Amino acid sequence: MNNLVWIIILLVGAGFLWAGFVFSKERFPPFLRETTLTGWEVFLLGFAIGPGGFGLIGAGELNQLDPFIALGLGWAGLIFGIQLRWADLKKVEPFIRFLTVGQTLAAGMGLCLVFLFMGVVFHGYSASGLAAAALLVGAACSVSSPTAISIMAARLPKTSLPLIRPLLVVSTLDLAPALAVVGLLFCFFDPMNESVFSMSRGVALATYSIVIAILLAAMFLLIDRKKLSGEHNLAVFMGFIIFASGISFYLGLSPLFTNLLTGIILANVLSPDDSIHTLLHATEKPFYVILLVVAGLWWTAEGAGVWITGIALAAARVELKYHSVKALERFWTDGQKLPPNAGLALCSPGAMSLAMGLNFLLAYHGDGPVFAFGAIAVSTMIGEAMAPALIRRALARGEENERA
Amino acid sequence: MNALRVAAVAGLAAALMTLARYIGQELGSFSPMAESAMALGFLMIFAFFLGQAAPVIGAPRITGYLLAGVAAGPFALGLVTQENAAPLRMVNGLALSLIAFTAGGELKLARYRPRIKALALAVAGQSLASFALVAVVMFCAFYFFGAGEGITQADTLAVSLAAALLLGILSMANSPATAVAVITEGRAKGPAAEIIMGSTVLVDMVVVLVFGALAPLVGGILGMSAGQEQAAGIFQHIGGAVALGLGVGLAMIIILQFSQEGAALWVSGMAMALSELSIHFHVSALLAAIVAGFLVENYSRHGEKLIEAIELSSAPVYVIFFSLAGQGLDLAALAANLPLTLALVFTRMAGVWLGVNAGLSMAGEPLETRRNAWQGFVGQAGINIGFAILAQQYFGQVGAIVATIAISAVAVNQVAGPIMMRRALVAAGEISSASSTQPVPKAEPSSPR
Repeated sequence: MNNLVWIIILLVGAGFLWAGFVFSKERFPPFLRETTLTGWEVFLLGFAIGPGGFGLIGAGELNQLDPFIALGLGWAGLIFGIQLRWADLKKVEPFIRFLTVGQTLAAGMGLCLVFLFMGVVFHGYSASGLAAAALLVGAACSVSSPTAISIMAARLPKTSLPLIRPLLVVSTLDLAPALAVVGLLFCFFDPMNESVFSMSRGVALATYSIVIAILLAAMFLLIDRKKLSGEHNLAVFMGFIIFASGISFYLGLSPLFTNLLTGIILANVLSPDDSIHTLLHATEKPFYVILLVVAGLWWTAEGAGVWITGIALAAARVELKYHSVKALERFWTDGQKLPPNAGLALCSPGAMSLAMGLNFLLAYHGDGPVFAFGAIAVSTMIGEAMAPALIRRALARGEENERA
Repeated sequence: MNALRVAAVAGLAAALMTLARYIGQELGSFSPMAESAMALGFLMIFAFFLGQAAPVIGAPRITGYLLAGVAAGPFALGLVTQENAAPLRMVNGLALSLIAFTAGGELKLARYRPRIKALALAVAGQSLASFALVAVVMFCAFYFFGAGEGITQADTLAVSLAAALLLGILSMANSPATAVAVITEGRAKGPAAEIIMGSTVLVDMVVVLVFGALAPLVGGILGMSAGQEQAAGIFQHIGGAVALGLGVGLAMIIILQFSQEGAALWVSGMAMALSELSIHFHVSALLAAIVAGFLVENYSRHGEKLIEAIELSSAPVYVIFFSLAGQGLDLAALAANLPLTLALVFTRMAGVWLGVNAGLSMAGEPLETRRNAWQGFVGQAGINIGFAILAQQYFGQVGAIVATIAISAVAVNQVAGPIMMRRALVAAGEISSASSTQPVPKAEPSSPR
């Protein structure tokens, strides 16, 4: 009973403190306000209440979170897939497409090599385990998030907007190659058999992924959503995502990938003003928060190796993004103008990075995935904290050049 | 929605599940641990569409959700089993807390003050009449027709009396979750709806107190020392639940005071915290959440904000909660104890009818209300199962017999209750026939990723 009294006092006190700060970040000191711009600190809340923190949710209870994980990962894949409408993609300038794929591949390969090295030094991976983990880390850490860019864009002078648009497009689209890598990784590296590479399994599952996505899309299209109210739409939508993700988990596939494929099919069948877009965006913030909290619950933050690897990945990402964008610009610009340090603006990995890491951890189990996810989490937190400053630097220099 | 479409969706969902299992078997590579998410997703889709069909036969949507759970459950299609439903405890707890927040939030003192007399008399009447009738009938059933295997002749009187008392107590309980779901789904407004909502919440508190008070007596009849400790435990259980509810309610008031947006997420977080803390401290999550909702509604300016925050997620919450409840119904126990179960169900129904009518008559409620309101008290759900399990733990073999029959009766009342409640509210002219027209919420401009 004493414990209960203390917990109640803690709840009320936390409510005061949290309310005072969280609902109005203006009260934060400027440094703190800037570094928590994208809301990544919610990940730490999940860590705090999880087994790695205060243990309010124990390790044995984490399997109770399967439905939330299914919902979060599935939603993340679907909301991205639904944006990949071919008619809209055709309008993207060739240079932007070139830059998107080019900088993601360059950063991804570089980060993959960094992790290969760190994995050998700090963790006793098997060969296939290391290969799978390195591919995953390379993909997860190479993505860019448009969130920080769009938030910073609102704070910078309007003259910066022409420079920001190409960066927003690149940071939105560069998730596609990364998710494709993750999806195929899950097909070809068997999570139930120590990440052993299997060509036959890979081809079979890749094919099945497409079949399942088609059937899921067909199921969704059959639902007469126009006659449903807002909350009923939400109910069937949540059920659909959890079901799709559940099937993916069952087969050892990535729910991010399966829902991405489903989203792509839906994007190209449904009309652009379909209510699914409204529903996805209306649920963006809550599901984003759920994803961050759940990811935090699974993070254990143990071992110096995880921290060193995470810091190395964060530093490598900045360098790789900066230099790869510069190199690609020299190769071909097609008349497009980018800020001189454009690559710096693409260093915010966002929640999708954590989502990919979490997906890997849950499917593959064991110390190796724990190490990989831990490093991704550290790298993501550093990236998110640095992102506003890097974006400001990238865009400020661009604006100066514009004025000159 | 077109029946053909519904069948096609359900069929595709079942086909996908089958395909997934086939692929998993073929490749020799599948994760049984992932079955819970797949099962929940399937259940949500299946339950949702069965719920959409339920109003066609005059039943509330939650009946459809319940029946979907039964159909998908271990005693029918076996798509959702006890094993793959076990990891869904947290989701279920979250759903129950949100429903109970709503129940507490609907207990507006200003609205209920004029009806205090009617509520008190309805609660008293229903409790006394159902307790008395059920106790007498079940005593006769056990005493004259056998108390069960392994019970000797010498023990029959004591066992019959103890079992009758326990079943009498359990028969008093209702289902606030059912009342909330049916009344909010139908947007019912009127005296019958108010009496049902207020009384079902109050009755459950009465059951907790009566169980605590009579547990020593039952223990004494059976020659067990268990009753005394359990009585103390029950009162601690009530006190702890109220304390937890007050703490969470206070935290929610603060959060609702300061939050400009995302109140729904915060409320869901508090519901989850309450649910987990209740388990940790062995107190009733239902009672704690009702107290929290009651506090926010009646002692702050944020009652409407709380209800609005929960409303958008109400449909998914009801689908999850009631379909899982349906999946958990023990049909095998029902089949094995059908005669006793039906005797209990109908005796209880008679007691409810008698007690509620008498109570509302004494309160001066009009005939229209008296005629219909009693049907809202038929439903039973989780709290009964909770007490049945307690009886099983405290009172050995007798408790086990009581638990089996009580849980079987819940299976019947949980399906019949919502149907009867909706019929009553329609007959009283208090339910709107228009479906919910809440629009899909507007998108917010930011795009976090």
